[in-house]
Amino acid sequence: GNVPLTPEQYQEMRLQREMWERNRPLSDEELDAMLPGEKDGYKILAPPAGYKPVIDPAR
Amino acid sequence: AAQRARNQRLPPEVNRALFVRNLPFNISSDEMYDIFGKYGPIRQIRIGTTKEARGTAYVVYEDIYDAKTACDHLSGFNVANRYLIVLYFNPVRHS
Repeated sequence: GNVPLTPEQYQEMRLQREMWERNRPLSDEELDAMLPGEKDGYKILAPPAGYKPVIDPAR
Repeated sequence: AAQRARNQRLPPEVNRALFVRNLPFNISSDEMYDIFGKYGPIRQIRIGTTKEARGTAYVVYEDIYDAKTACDHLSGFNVANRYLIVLYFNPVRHS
């Protein structure tokens, strides 16, 4: 059986889960649904040649 | 300390997409990625192209903590003698 969490541990776990949910990767479709697009006068700005988002290995 | 900051709960209005106003109309992709990329990997930038939308952009970070740092540091940042206005995008859609 699992050792029951203390209220503090439980709260900590909930906060971590909430932040994980708010920080999970976004698909292109989700971005399109979320942000104004071409009909609203916005275009996707292509990254400069050689731009590579660095993914932090600690995450 | 960095690890602790990563687990920190952020206020509900904080999100990975920033709305930026008062950008120079002729800003290049290089400049945009240079200014905003300093705070972390960028997922996407959308820039205003019409008369109404020019001078504004949406900048989306891969990581919400980077978005917060950028918003804290870039509000009032001076670009070509203009002061940027940086706000969190409000994800509530108006339909």
